[in-house]
Amino acid sequence: MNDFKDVFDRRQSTTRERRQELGAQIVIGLNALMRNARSYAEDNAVFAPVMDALEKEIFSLLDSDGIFELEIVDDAFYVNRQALRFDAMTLPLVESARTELRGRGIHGIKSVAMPPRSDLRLLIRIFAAHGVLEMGARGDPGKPFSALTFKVLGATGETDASADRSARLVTVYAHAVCFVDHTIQQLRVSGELIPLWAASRVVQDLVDLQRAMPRRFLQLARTKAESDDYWGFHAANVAVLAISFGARLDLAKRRRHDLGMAALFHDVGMAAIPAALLERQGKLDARAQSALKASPLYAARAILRDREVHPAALERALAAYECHLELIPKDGEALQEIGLAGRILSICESYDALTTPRPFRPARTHLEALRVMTTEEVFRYDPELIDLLPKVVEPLLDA
Amino acid sequence: MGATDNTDVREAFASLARSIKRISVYRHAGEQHRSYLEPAFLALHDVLSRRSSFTVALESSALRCQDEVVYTEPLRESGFCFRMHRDGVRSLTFRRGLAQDDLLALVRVAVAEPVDGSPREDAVTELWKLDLKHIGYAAISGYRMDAAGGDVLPKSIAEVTARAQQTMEQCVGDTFIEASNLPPLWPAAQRALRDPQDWTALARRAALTILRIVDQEHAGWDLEALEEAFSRLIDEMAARGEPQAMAVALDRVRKIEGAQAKDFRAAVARDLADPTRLERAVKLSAGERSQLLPAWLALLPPEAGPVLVSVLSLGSTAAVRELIGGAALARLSSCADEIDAAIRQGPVPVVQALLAAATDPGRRAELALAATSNPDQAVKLVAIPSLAANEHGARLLGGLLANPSREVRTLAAEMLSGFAAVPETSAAHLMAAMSRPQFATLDREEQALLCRALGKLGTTSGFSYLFERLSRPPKGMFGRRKGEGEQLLAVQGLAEEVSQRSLRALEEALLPSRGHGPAVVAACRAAAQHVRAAIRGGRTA
Repeated sequence: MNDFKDVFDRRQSTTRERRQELGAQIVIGLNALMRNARSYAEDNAVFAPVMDALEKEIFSLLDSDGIFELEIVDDAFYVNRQALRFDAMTLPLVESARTELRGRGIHGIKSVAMPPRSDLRLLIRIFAAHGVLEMGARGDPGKPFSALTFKVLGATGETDASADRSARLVTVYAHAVCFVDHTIQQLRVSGELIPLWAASRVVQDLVDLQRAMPRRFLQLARTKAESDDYWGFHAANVAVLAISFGARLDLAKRRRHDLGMAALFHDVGMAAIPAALLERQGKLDARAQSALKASPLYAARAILRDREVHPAALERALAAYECHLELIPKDGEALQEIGLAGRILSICESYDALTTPRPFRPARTHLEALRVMTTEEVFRYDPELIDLLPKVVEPLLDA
Repeated sequence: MGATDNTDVREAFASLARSIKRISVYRHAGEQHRSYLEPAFLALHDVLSRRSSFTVALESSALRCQDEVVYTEPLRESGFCFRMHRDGVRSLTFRRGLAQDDLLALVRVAVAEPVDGSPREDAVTELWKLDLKHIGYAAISGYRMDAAGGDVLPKSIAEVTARAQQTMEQCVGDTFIEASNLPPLWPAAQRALRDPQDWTALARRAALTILRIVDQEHAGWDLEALEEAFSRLIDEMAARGEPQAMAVALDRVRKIEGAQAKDFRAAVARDLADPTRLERAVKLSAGERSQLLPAWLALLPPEAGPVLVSVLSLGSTAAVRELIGGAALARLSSCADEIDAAIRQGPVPVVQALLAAATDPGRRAELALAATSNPDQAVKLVAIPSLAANEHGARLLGGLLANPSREVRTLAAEMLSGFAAVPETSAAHLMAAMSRPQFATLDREEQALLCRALGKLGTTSGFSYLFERLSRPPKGMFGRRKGEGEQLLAVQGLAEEVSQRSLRALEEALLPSRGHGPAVVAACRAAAQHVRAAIRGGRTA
C-alpha cells in the first residue's frame, strides 16, 4: 500500500504560503508603481526599489513554477492559479490596484521568461498620467513588452451571466466534472487544489437548477464518460442523481447541498490508486483489491485533512466513505453505521456505474440497471430507498 | 428615490451597526441577541413600510444605496461588511415583510467570530443555506474552474459543456415537459426519522473514521491534519456537552494499532493534557457512570501530573476525584511536589481523593502521614484511618496519641484498637500513652476511650496492664480515691476485651476478699454480665 500512499505525500516544490507571500508583494508593488507613475517620470529613482523587489519576486515565481501569471478574476487576484488573500490593512491598496488595472482593461499580466527592466519601465509608462490610449496584449502597441503580456478581455467574454438557464445547467455540470477531475489529478501529484468554496458554489447552483427544472436537470445524468475520463463525469452524475433523490424525499435545501458535495468527493480516494490499476481488465490481484478497498478511506482523509468539523464537512467526509461500505458486512467484519447520505449515494453511485460503459464491460440500460439493483443486488442497498429509486429516475426512462 | 430619501436607510444601518457591536461583544449571550437587534429591526421595518424593497451594494467597509454611501465602518475583520465582502457577497436586498429572525440570521453570518462558537462555512454558502425569505443577496459568480484549474484539467470546461449540451439536445426535445413540482416520496415524519441530523452521531462517526484511517495506516502525511481534526471534534463535542460520544472516541484512540498509532496517540494526549480542556472534561464527568474520564485519563502523558492535581478539586463527586487522584499518582514522578502541597494544604475532598486513589498501602500511609500536617483539622481526621495500613502505620498512629488535638488523639486510639495485624505493637503504643504523666490531665471520656481501645485489642500485654491496674491501683495522696478512678477505667478496658480471661478477672474482683470499693465492685459486676452475654452471643475480642 505504501506505493499508493506516496502519491498523496509528495512535497510541493513551491509551497502555497510562499506563493501567497510573493503574490501579495507583487500586487502591492504594482500598486506602488501605478501610484507613483502619475507623479514621476519613468526614469525617476523613486521606482528603483519597487522594480528591484518586483524583479526578485517575479524571478522567484518563474524559478519555482516556470511561469508568472497574475490574473484578476471577479474581485480576486490569482497568482499562478492560486487565489490571493489579503488582510484588512492591505485591502485598500489591493482595491486601488484592481481598479486601476481594470480601468485600463487589463485583467492579467503574464510572463514565461524573466522580464527585463525595460518591460517594467514600459509598465510605468502605461500607468503614467497621460497613459496609453490603446492597450494590446503586449502593452503599448507602439512600444511593446519583450517578455510581459497583458490579458485584455472584451466586455462580452467574461461571464456567462447572460446565458439562459438551460445553458447554465450544462455549464454548471461541466464545472462539476472539471472540479472532480482536477481534484483527483492534483491529489495524485500533491498539487494546488481548487478551493472548496468553489465546489460549494457549483453545488449551490446545481441544487437551485434542480428546483427550477427537476426533469431537465436529471437528464444531465445521461452524459456519460468516455474511456479515459470516468471519474469526473461519474461524480457529477452521482451529484445530479443524489440531489434529485434528495429533492424527491423533500430533504431541506442544505441537505441536498450536502448530498451534492459528498457526491463530488465520493471517489477522490481513487487518486491514491495508480491509473494503470484502475484501467486494468480482468480479475484484480490481492494487492490491487486491497488498494481499491482502501480508497474510501482515502476519500475521507482527503476531506477531513481540511480540519473542518462543521456538519456539512462531516457529512461530506462520512458520506464519501460510507457510501462504499457494505450494508451487510462480510463474515468477521464489524457492522458500521451508515448515514442517510451514504445510503443515498450508494444507490446513485451504483446506478450511474452500471449505466456507464467501462473498458471491461458494456453499459447496461436504464431498465437493466434497475432490475439488477432491485433483484440480484438488492441486499446491498437500504431497503426503503432502493424501492424509491425507480420513481426517482423515472424521467430518465421517459425521455 | 432622491438623495434625501436615503436618510432613513443610513439611520437604519447606523442602528444596525450598534446592534452588531453589542452582539459581537456579548456573542455568548445568544438569548439576548434578539433584544439587541430590536432597534435596528424597527428602523429597517420603518424604511420598508415606505418602500417595498431596497438594495445596498456591499463594499469591504461600506454600504451604498443608489450610489450613495449609507454606511461606513473602519476596515477591520470584525465589521459588518468585511467577512461577507471577502467571501463574495456584493449586494443585499431587504424586502417588505422582513422578520427579526431573518435579520438576526444575517447578522450572525456577517460577524467575524461565530456567535455560538461553532465551526462554519463561507458567508455565501451560509446565506444560501439560510434561504432567507425577505433578505436577498448577490454574490460574485464564485467559480472559474478553468481559471483556477489552469492547464492541468484533462478536459476543458468548453469540451465538457459541449458533450453535456449534446446529451441534453438528444434527450430534451421540443415536446419535453418540465414538471415544476414532483410530489415528495416521504412524509415529514418518515424524513425526520430517517434523517435526524444529529451532529453528535455525525461527529462520533467522523472521529471513528479518522481513527480507522490511522489504524489501517492510511494517514500518510496528513497525520497531523487528521489529529487536529480529531481534536476539534473532541472540543466541539465538549462544547456541546456530549461526554458519551467523547468517551467512545477516546476509548478507541487507546485501542488503535498500526505504525502511526503511537504518534497519533501522543498528539491527542498532548491536546487532552491542556488545562482548559481537562477542566471541561472534569466538569462534564458529573455522573459516576460517565465513561469519559477513564478514557480521557488513560491517554494523558506521563508529564500531565501537575495539571491533574490542579483540576482535582473540580471533580463534582468523590468517584470522579478519586479517578483524577489515581491518574495523578500514576504520574507521581511529574507531580510529586504538587501532590505533597495538595496533601499538606489542600481541602478535605482533595486529600480524601488522593488517599482513596493510593492503592498501595505503604503509599497511602505516607500520604496520610503528610496529611496530618495539614492545618485543617478535618483533613487530619480524614487521613488518620489511612495510617492504619501496616506496622509502620501503627507507629505513626502511636505518635498521634500525643497530638495536641483531642479529636486526632481519640481517632488515632480508635484506629489503633482496630489494628489487628500488629496488635502487640498497637497495644504498646496505647500503654505508652496511658503511662505518660499527661494521661492524668485528659478528660475522663478520653481516658476511658484509651482503655477500651487497649482492651479491644485483646493482647496479653494489654490484658496484664489492665488487670494490674484493676488489682493494684496506684495510691493517691488521699488514699484510694484516685486509685478507684484508675480501676474503673481498667474495668472498662477489660469489659471491651470480651474473653474468658477478662471475665475471670472481673469475677475475681467481685470477691469480698479483694477489698475493692462498692463502685468498683458494681462496675465489675456490670462488666462481667456484659462480657458473659457477649461470649454467649459469640462475640469475643
